[in-house]
Amino acid sequence: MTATVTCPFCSLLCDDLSVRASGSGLTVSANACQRARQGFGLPAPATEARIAGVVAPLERAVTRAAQLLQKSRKALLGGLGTDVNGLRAALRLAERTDAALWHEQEPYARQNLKALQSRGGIMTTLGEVKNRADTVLFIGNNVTDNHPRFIERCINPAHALFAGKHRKLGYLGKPGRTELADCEGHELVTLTDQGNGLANHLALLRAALTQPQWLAAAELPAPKRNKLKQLVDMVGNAQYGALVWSPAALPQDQADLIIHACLDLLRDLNVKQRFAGLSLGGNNGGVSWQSVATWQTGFPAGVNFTNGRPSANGVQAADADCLLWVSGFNRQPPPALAVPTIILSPHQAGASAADVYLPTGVPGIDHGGNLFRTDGVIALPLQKLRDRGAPSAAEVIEQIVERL
Amino acid sequence: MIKLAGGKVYDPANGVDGRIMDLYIKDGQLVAASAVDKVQQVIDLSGRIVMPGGIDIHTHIGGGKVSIARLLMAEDHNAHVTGADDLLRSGSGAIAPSSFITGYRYAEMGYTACFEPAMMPVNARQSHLEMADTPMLDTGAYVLLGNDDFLLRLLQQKKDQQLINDYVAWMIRATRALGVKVVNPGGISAFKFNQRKLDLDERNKYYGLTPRDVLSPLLEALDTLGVPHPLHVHACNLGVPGNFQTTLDTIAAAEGRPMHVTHVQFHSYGQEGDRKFSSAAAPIAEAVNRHKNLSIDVGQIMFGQTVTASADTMLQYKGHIHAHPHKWTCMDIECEAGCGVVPFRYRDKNFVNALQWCIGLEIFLLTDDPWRVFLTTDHPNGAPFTSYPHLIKLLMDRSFRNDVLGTINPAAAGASTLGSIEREYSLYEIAVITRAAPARSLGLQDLGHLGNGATADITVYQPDDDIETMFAHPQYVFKRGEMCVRNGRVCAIPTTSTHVVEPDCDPGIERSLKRYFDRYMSMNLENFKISREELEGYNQHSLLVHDCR
Ligand code: SF4
Ligand SMILES: [Zn+2]
Repeated sequence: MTATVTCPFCSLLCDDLSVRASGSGLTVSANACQRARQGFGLPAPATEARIAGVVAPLERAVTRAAQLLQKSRKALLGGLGTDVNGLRAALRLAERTDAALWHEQEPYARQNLKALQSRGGIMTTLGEVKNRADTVLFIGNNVTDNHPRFIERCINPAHALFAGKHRKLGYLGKPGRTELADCEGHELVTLTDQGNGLANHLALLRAALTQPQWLAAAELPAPKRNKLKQLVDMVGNAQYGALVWSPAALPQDQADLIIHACLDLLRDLNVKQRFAGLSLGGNNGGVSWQSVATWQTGFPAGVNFTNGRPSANGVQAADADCLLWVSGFNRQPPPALAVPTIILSPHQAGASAADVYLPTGVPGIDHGGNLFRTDGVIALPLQKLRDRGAPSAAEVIEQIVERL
Repeated sequence: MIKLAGGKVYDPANGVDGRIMDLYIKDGQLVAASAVDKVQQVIDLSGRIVMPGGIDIHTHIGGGKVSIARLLMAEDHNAHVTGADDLLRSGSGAIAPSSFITGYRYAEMGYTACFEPAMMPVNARQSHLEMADTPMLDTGAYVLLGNDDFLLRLLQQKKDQQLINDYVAWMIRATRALGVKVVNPGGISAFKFNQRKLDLDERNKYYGLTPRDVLSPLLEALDTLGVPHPLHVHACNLGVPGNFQTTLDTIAAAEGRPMHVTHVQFHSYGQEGDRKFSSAAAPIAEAVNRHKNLSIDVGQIMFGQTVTASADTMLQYKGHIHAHPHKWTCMDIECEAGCGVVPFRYRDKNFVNALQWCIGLEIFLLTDDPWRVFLTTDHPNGAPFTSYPHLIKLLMDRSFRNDVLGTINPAAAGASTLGSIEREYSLYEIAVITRAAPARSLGLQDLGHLGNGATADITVYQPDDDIETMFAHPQYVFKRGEMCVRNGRVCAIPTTSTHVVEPDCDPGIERSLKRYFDRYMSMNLENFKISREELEGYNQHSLLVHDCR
């Protein structure tokens, strides 16, 4: 078997895996990270639908779900851990039931979006970083934690078109232990700070980069000044640099500020040289959600329908009077809301407490489809790796729509 | 079987210029009266004007850059929201509308087929997904080549033209394209090496190639492969004063081979006068008239807010200082291309913008063969596509044109010859530049005409004193014989197709590509390719494969 399986378990969408069946789960035999091994290793989806915790025929469960949604006035379609087709179906359902939609990654994605919508960005893609970036500056703590093979694929590739084997790496924040190990062999300058905060450091770096005389005059402790000087030289000498952050790995009270600062820094740098940003985020279909929502409704997040009219007013989970929860990639149970709850998931987390549980397959395991990668440009096909009769979330949602 | 009775028909591909005639539709096609056994429905079109469905040969309707544009234009989306009903899906935006709305608005304007001109290979899947969510319209796309590292290396190593041809053919097939576009040949790549400008004979500092070095083999490849639509060229120096010389040189560089030069308005600038910005529409139009191998689309600008989206990161970056509102995005993409999105407001009182408006119209009016000129605003770059009826009025009505000319920046109006140009387009010529000519250029044998065997994509207009009103609100639109617009509103959602070509290629090319993908690309070759089943699955779209010559 050639290793061309797409891994759906983070938005890097590595598509060089090979997978074989073992017991009730699957085992990945090539190129997987821990996160992928865990995802592929989860037990096969449940096959029985439930109404109020009791096993029921799928037909009846779907009808019940449709009734609950039809009765609701402010339903929330949440989680949205599904593929492009699942999201298209969810948008259709929301439009028909005047529901709001909310992706589990949205709290993080929104920080990015706010900045991009107010400023725009100078951005890049995985393939550009892999082949071209001789200098990479990480912003945040444990930036690649939720994207485990980023360094392997983009900083340590076996082959690159332009960048050499040894890259210059800067880390504004605290690298994780595995990151440190993965970055071995490259020049690495870290500016970790216990007290002052990332936003502050970024501001210092920006000042130092844009006004060289400032650094010499600034009142800074010598070690910090030296680090800044090293980073300034590193960035200034880059042929092509990448600034990498992960919204979820930023201190949430500063994320907005930091991402704005990153985008501003990129604007400054590109006056004279080339440097571009890459945001690692949008796991569990989050990037796909932003893409599909944008092209179908014109709004990239927090889409809310009233009288079938989309708006980007955002969503208050507490206001919802019915929850449909889609969780195709993990066992994340729905938030505990005291409202009728419908779960679409391969996994039965929370199923017994839900009003309706509809078993669905894992996108990229039980059915094919598409997901968008973290850079937002590339959609990869997903493969069907086993056949246990589990339907896709898209199929189940379409059945609900038919019964409205 | 439907009979469309007694309409006044404009069907330039069949030489029909305003003849009163009956049309017969059977199984989605136009058929001869003799092939009719039983007419089920007669629609009386007396006093109406009948044309084939409109075809937009260059409109940015599918792919990442449009969605970045949507994201940046949040104000526009908030201000223009459309709800769903039993038939129609919802959406928003007037400048770069969301996908469903795009389809409805095009159809309500009498258009039945639209072609995305800049589909990046790695973004092809998204482009097709978005177009599958754009109802009412047949679609297709030109794959973007000429800044992709694989090709630039082949050229740098002076590989055999045959290999280039195979690569181009393979890319067209893998991405399900209908043609090939090149944008600022080698210049998007050069920008990644921090080059900020690239003339036709200036070298990309990494590959040592000039835009001319890239252009020529691509022209050759498409010609040899027999792809109906010639290489679709976005020349270098987009928007730069004085760039008309580059455009003339680019035209000459084709050396007689078929070539399509796109949004030529943005490439027809002189640098005369106090403001070092002037119209060079005359020499460009003259070159178009002389070079029969050439076709153009205009890329007319209209006054108002829009957003520009282009793969030309080099020039979009340069243009960001004019961003309005002041936010913009540039992206380097996969050693293949890029994209730059810059919101822009064209102002009629601004000298440069006003002159750009004149330049586009001058090109329309000074070129003498409508079969080689296509009506576009390079949606949304010059203006949203919804401005076409207004543009048509400007072309057809000299007194209206001169009235508007009287309201724009007077220095610009004075610097333009527009006021003295007497030409007015006829309905027949409008049917050429919006239907027959684009279809012919793209090799769509069954579209853009109303002869027997043609697909019954038909637009029926109610004549109006105001030609803009007439073109803005067709009375009926038929798609594959099904009435899908009535009195200017969508009344049915027809099935649509994706148009592609599949030029022959030596399968051996895939071996080198596989090696290249395994080493350098960030995805597998197998996953890069889009299968027929996959594409057709997006929205029960059927794939229509057109013959290569
Ligand atoms: S890095 Fe992400 S996509 Fe790659 S194997 Fe791990 S979980 Fe899967
Ligand atoms: Zn264009």
